[in-house]
Amino acid sequence: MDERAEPPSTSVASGSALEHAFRTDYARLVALARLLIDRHAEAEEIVQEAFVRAYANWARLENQDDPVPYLRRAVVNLARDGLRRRGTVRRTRLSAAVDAPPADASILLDESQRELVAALRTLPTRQRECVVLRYLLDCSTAEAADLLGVTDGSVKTHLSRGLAALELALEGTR
Amino acid sequence: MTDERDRSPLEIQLVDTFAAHVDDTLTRDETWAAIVREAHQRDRARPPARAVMLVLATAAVLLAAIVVVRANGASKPDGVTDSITVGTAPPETVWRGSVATNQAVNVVTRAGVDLVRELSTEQRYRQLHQFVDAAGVTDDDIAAQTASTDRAAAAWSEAVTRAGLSAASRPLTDAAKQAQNRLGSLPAVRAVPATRTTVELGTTHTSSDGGFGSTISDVLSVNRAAVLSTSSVPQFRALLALLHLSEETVWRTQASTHALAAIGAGTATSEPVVADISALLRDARLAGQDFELLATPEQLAARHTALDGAKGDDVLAQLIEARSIGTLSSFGTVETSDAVLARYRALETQMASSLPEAPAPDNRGSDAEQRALLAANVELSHALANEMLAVSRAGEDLTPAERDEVDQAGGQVVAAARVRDETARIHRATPTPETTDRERRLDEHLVALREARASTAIGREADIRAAIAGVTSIVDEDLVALAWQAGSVPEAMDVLALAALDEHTTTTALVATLAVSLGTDPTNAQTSRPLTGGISEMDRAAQRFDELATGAQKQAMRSADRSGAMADDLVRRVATGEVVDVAALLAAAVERNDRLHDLEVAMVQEPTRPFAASPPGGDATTVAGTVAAATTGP
Repeated sequence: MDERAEPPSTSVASGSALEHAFRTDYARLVALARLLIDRHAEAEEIVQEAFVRAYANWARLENQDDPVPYLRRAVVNLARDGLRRRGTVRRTRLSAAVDAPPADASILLDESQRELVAALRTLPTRQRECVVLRYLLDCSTAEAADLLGVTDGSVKTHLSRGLAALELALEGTR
Repeated sequence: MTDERDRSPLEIQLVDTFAAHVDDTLTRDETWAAIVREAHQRDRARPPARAVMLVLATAAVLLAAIVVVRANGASKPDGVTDSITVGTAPPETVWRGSVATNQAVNVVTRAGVDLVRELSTEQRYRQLHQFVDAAGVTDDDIAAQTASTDRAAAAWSEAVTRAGLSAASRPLTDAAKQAQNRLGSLPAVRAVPATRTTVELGTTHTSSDGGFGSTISDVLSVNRAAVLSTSSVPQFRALLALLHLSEETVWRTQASTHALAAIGAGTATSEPVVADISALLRDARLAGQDFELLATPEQLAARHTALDGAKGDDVLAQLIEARSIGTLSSFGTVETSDAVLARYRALETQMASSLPEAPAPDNRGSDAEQRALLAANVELSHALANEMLAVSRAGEDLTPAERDEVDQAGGQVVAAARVRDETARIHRATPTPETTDRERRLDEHLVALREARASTAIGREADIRAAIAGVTSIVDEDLVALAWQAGSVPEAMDVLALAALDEHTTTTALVATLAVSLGTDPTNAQTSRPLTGGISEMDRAAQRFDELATGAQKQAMRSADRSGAMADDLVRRVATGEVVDVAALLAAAVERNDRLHDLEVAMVQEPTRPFAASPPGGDATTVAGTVAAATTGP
């Protein structure tokens, strides 16, 4: 195969579907990452990495008209990698400052919302993912299942257990 | 999709709460521009498709050669393999070190240590300026320090460029690129308005802290990668010591700065602040312990002098633990803290200037006698962990069968200690003062263990556990010391990884037995310092192993440590005050101990990289992973 015949991998033109996705979905994807990893400093990096990968691999993207599902999956996967790595990065964690929510977090969230987020952080990864995908991105069970690579039934189970655990945790704070 | 009307109050609250996390102001043109720029940079850096295929094919061949974990015979029902090998690199490959590379590593590391220090100082100044009036940090001070940081950043960039280490280590090149990018955004970090930020965690930071933290973190990553690029064993040791000292200095600076800021903000006695600062100080102490583990006697003496012995221990640590921090005058504490940090920095500078200059690569290969001593050490620590677990399983009131089991475990320790003693005598025909001292201390702990075994007093189990912990710590010390006699840096790394694994293995057994003894006493378990400290050390050792091991070794450990997940979970639950099934905990701990021992034996028998196939930190698994990440989707 002639290498010259290959299309350039970064062939995303300005004003493309990816840039459109950036304009419409970037903030929501950062929120997704924040809720999944609760490390605010890393959330934006994760989403930017997802966009960079989408851009760099544009020619190979299955659905160039709608890159948002790809981006969502990338963010979830990158966040999960981050979770796995967290146990081994203590030496590079310089202070809680790196993990601290932004300065305006206390203004944006009222007390009950903070309790809810705190409870969310106690959920197992998969349950947390299902809850966030459902109530942040409004994903259907099938969409969440496709994104996470699990069955519909599994999503329903995780969602139901996650909600029950949240109810229980919040009861304890009231 | 659930109709709005069907949603429960919790679901409505979830939607509202999550919506509050969506911050549209983040969608900025410059962010998109940065994404496009980064994608194009990666595209330029990416090899042509055909070259990628070639690399992948080569990596596949190498991966086939580096057998990660293979089952000899039938697998057990749970999928755990019967035997573990960590594989070997092709024998014809050679270590690619050079005097020039070693010298360049020194230059980059020195510049990195300087830069970390300057960044850390600037961060401290900005925080003190914001929160601690008594510190007297003026705008001019900050401007001067900013200029100083920029000079250090420029010097570091030049050192990295001129060193030309890209051929030595891909991880180093990648880490340097990331740190360089981070430094590029430092002006933006500084431009963030320095608002007071007392978040719900109770800690007190300025809004630019995260940016400084990430930048320091990335430069430290470059330092770590640089250390792994040397081919001289003495230089490797000196660089590691410097790295740990630099990390300790950073943690200590962070801890004292946050403590002072908390005093200034009046939050110093709140639980989250105490926890946050204690965690930072614990990290500083751990880095200090790492330093002590591998420093030469001369470096230890220099440290002792520079830090003025006990006074070197930051006074803030004691204040925080006594919960009396809020009652002190900030001014006095700032002076004390500044003085401590100044001594650390002076020592850092001194050590950086005394790195071995232009050392020649070590390439002597493996030493059979040394391997024999490694094996003897590993067997002794395994026998000790077994005895600890057997004693714990039996409890205080022994049945005859339990007595037999415990006696047998004790007998195995005695036999293993004898073998180790004889092996050490052969290996060390002319012992150094260091080795003589270590052997003496080992003997003392073995005597204490013998006495504890013979005791019938209440608390016998705890005495045995303490004596065993004493012996295992000296065994691990000996393993680390053997690393400095290795014939090459890769082999030294192998031995250090083995030492870390052994420490992890024995500490997991220790915390399991502690958890068993506390498992029925949730209140005491929750406040048990030995248990929480043990868990922390166990994690630390695992992390150290991760940093030193090859990808193949790490995978082998994850496989061997499969039963560890259950043991870990139970141990951590005990530490939170939960009552657990101690029998299940012990069973999981015993299985984990055996599996990790299998891996240790494999590492001793099959040195993974006496002559590395690629530079350290860039083994075939890493290369394959990197290429795969660059060529696949999410």
